[in-house]
Parts: sequence; structure tokens; C-alpha cells
Amino acid sequence: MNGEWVRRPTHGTTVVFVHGILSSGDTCWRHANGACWPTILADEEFLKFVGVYVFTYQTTLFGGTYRLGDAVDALKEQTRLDGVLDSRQIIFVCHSMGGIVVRNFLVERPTDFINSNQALGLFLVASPSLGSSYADWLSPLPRPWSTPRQAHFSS
Amino acid sequence: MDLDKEFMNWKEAKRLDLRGKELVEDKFIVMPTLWRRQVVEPFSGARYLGEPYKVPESDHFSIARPADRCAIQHRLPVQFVDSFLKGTRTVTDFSTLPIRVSKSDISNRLLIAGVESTCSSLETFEIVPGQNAVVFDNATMGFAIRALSLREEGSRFDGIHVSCLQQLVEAIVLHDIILVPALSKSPWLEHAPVDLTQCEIHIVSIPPGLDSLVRDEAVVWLSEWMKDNAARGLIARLLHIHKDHWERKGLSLERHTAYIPDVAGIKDFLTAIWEEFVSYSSTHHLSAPGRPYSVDEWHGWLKSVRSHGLSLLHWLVYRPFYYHILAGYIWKIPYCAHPSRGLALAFESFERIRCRFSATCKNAPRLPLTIWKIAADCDRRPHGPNLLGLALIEVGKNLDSVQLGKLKDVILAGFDERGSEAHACKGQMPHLGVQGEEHHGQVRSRTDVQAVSSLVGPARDAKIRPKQPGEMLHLREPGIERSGQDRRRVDVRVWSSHVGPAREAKIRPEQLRAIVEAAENEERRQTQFGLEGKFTKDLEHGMPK
Repeated sequence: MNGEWVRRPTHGTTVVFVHGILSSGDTCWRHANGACWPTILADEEFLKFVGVYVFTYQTTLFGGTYRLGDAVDALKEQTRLDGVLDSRQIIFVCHSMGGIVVRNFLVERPTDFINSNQALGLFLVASPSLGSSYADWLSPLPRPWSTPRQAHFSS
Repeated sequence: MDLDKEFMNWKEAKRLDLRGKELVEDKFIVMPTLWRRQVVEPFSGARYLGEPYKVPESDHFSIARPADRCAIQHRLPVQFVDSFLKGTRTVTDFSTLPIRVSKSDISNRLLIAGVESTCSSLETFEIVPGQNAVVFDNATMGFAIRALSLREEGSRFDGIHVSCLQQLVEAIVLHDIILVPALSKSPWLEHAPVDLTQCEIHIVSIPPGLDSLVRDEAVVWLSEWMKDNAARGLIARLLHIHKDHWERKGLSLERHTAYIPDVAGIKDFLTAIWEEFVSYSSTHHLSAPGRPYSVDEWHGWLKSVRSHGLSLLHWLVYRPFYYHILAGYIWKIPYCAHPSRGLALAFESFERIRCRFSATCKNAPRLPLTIWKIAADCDRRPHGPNLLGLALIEVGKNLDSVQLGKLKDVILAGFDERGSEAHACKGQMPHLGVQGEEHHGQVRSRTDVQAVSSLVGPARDAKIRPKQPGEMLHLREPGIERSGQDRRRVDVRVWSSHVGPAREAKIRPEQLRAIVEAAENEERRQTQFGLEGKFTKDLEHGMPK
């Protein structure tokens, strides 16, 4: 569950891929023919100076105690450790729940970006802003496997 | 819903430069004909950002998996990244882009200490709020780069920079120090300019091991680091920016010399001198830093340049000021603390010289060569012939070559004859204003005395008081003034009052007899024409006993 540099930036612009629910940094972006979107982007000739970073966080149907806030923390810490946040321009490409994670991150840590005068781009790919009706269908599923204490805090 | 609201509020606050785009899926993941509703429906997936796009035939998962670079969901983010960068880029000219270099506290202190002490500008740098980075003006960097690119091998900087550079190359990490073209308070911070061409510039940081470097070494390091970039034209660009920077400080040469007429293209001439001089002094300084900024000789014009304790960068910033110093060395103009005034004096001095010879040249055909000799004497200075020659060439365009050649020969000959006497007169240079007029008058009165010395005897001219030219001017042309003996007699008395009574005894008897005979003849002539003169009476009164 670590982020990975596909290529480091050469002058301060980084594209960060954030996968969605029930996925990973590898499976989310990989086509059946083997093509991986971050790699395709990195291979673009006129974007060769742009860094490409793939962030991966834990997301399973039965994730236990790992919640959205934890994913946000993971995004913050991993990007900080890997130097992604040092870029002056950061473009998030977010799929599905990845968009929620990133939006949470931005809302929680706005001063980090403002103080460093960073420019942000947000490319949302099928990312729900108002949730998904199907998610309501699936929401009861994990509950039987949660401990009462966890269920209590979750509620 | 809380996140949705918070994010909307956060976005609308526009506290951050945020742009984006949204893609939404077209179909449900399985049995799309049965399930019409997408996993993320458009009203939910296209809410925050403008111009959402529904990817045809895509579902919630395939939308994130482009098959190749031609897929629409790939081309869109590529275009987005490109437009994002273009939108962020406030300036397209590479010359105006910032360059980020380094960041640690040690680096900051080092570079601040170095650049601050080598550049007199108060706007040389500033700390980027909240970023622990230093902002340098391109001009500052340009100065350092240019100066040190002229460094000669074998200087004391040699060897230091090599090790520094090696460490730097090994320590390439992230970028921190920022060079900005215009160091105003707001613009670049607000727009965070960036450009693709920046990838040409190496991004390095100063290794902590270099914290012991002092100012000069720091500048050397900066120079070495930028050397490769300089090869791509960075120096020229920076120097070009320097002019704006300089003018922003109100030190415009044009501004300071706007009221000074361009004398015979002398401004260009002086500029050319200056450019070469700066290059030379830069090289000289870097090759012999023990005696900074002292130039013993330069094209035979400069005997020395004072060591004023200011850095080379200071020289460049206060360019007009050093124009003045340079002019002072060339034309021996008194030092003036104010650069514009000093420069004005420099041009004024040249203008004075030029005008004098211009006026003389107009009368050249009617003037004897001795006048030119005298004129040359007026400008007794080490480099007088050079300037006189230039002035003659400039103003003597109406003269034929023979005349011009004669004039130049006379002036140069006069200068050669002057010898050590010229140096003795350096303190009485006709440099400015009234003093120049006085000097001019002195020369003229001496000439007059020489002219009449044949009448009053050779001993006279040596004893005539030189500081009363006004009283002697009427004697300048004796042939005219001596129209009447009575008047001539009066003149003699005036003379005697100057030279003392002993002079009268020295009038030669034959001269006196000639004067008396002339006076008697004149008296007879006047009597004949009915004129009443008092010559005899006056003569008796003035006769030596």
C-alpha cells in the first residue's frame, strides 16, 4: 500500500493517480490488453518533464476499521514522504472513490497548498460527488462482520 | 453530503488555484441494457467542474482503463495537463521564468550572505513566505554569472568550484531557490509561473557541506552551477533583464543624461568604453582578487582605478556612477558624489572643449597658427591631444585636409613643447564654469602682453600682473588704441601703475624720443586741422624726471 513513482518530475509538475474503491494502483488503471494508464501518460512525448505518481491505499469490501479518513491520511503521508507535495503543480487523476479521498484531503489541508502557492488540477473520472445509489445497496454487507464496538464507533 | 458542501465552499472561496475536469461513465458495469443507471450517475459525477464529459461505451471501471494513447479518456487528461500548465504559465518568454534551485536554511543563509554583500540592491532577494525558499533577482544572478564566467584559470577560485560542483551534482535533489525576473512583491507568487522549457535547467540544491563557504565562494558556486545554462543564452538574457532592473531603481542612463546633449556621439563612445572597461575589470578582479577593482592601465587611458571597496556587482548596478568615475579618469573631472551630476560634468567638460575648438575652427583660415598653439595650451592635460584631436576631427569637417592637418600638427606640437609644464598646470584645469573663463582670460592677456612687449621692452611682460586682464584689454591692439598720443600716454601711465614706477625709467631714450616726435607731429597735425590738444602739457606732466 505505497505510492509509486512512474517517473519523477523534472521541474515541479506531477500527476497523481488515485484509484477508486475495491481496486488498487495496479488494477484500477490497467486495461485488459496490459496497457496501464499512468504509463501511457508518462510515455507522452511532450509531457516528459511531468512526474507521474500512482497512489495506492487500502480498499476492500471488508476493510475492517480502515475508513475514508485513513485513506486520506495515507494520501497525505505518502505523497509527503515521496516528495509529491513538493511539486508546484499537482494534478490529481481520481477514479471513483479516489476523488472523494482527494477532495477530503484538499478540504482538510487547504493551508498546505495555499502557503506553498501550489496550483492544483483535479481530473475526476467517474467520481461521485453525491454518492452512488448502489453504494446504499452494499452498505449493509460489512456490518455483520464488524465487532459491536467497531460498529458503535462507525455509527 | 458534508464533504460535498465543504468542497463546494472551499472551491468557491478560490483560495487556491484549482482547475479540473470531470469524466462520467456511460453504462452500468454489467447488463447495461437491463441496468440503465450508471454506478456514478452524471448528476453526481459532474458536479464541481465545468465541461464534464461522458465517455461513450464506458462503464465505471473501463473508464479508467484506456486501451492506448488514442483513447478519449487518455487524450482528455493529456489535454487537461497541457492546458493546465498553459493556464498556469503567466509568461511565455523563457527569459522571464523563475528558476528554482535550492532550499535549506544553510543554503539560504549562505546565498543571502553572498548575494547581499555582492549586490547593493536591497531587492536582491527575499524569503518566500511559508516556503523556506529564497528568491533571487535574475539580475543578481546575471551579474554573478557574467562576472565569474570571465574568471581566469589560476585564480584563487579555481579548485574550490570544482569540488563544490561535484558535490552539487551528487546532491541533486529538489529545487528551492527561486530566481525571478521581477522581484516585486506579488506577481510571481500569485501566478506561480512555470514553463516547459524549465526542464532544460538543472535542479540542484546546495549540499550542507558547503556552509563554510564565504561570499565569494558562494557566488562562484552559483556561477558554476549556472554555467551550463549560460551556454544556452542565459547570460545574455539575464543581462538584458538587468537593464530593466536597473531602470526600476531609477538609475537609468537615459534619465540621468536626458538633459545632456549628445556631443559628437560621445555617449556611444563612452558606452563602448564602459562595456569594454567592465569586461576588463571583471577579468582583472577575478584573476587578482587581492586587489579588487584596481586597474592600472587600460588602453593607455587609465592610470588607475581607485579601490573604493565596492563589489563588481555594485559597479554594474550603479552604472551611471561609474560612468562618471570612468569619465573622471579620462578627462580628469573632479569627483562628484552624485552620479548624474558627475556624468553631467563629464559631458559638460567635453562639450566645453568641443565648443572652444569649434569656434576656433570657424575662424581657422583667418587665424595664425600661434592662436592654435595658444588654444592647445589652454588644455594642458595628459590626454589633451587625444581629445583635441577628436574635437578637431569632429568640428573640422568643413576644413580641407591641409588645414586640418596643420591644426592637428600645431596642437600636437604645442602639447609636445609643453612638456612638464602641462603637469604643473593640472591644478588649474579649465574644468568648469567661471574658472574656465578666467583661465581663458589669462591666456588672452598673456598673449596681449607678448604682443606689446616689443614696444615696452622685453622686461615688461614678465612683470605685468596677470590678474588684471580687464584693465589691459584696451591695449590688446595697440595699433588701434594709439590713435592719439594723449591716449597712448594715458595708457602708459596705466601700465606704470601696474608695473611700478621703476618701469618708467626703463623706457628707452630712443623710444621716448620717437614718442615725443610722434606726439609733436600729431600736435601739429591737430593744430593744422583746428583741433585743440593738450599733448605738450600732458607730456610734460608725464615726462620722467
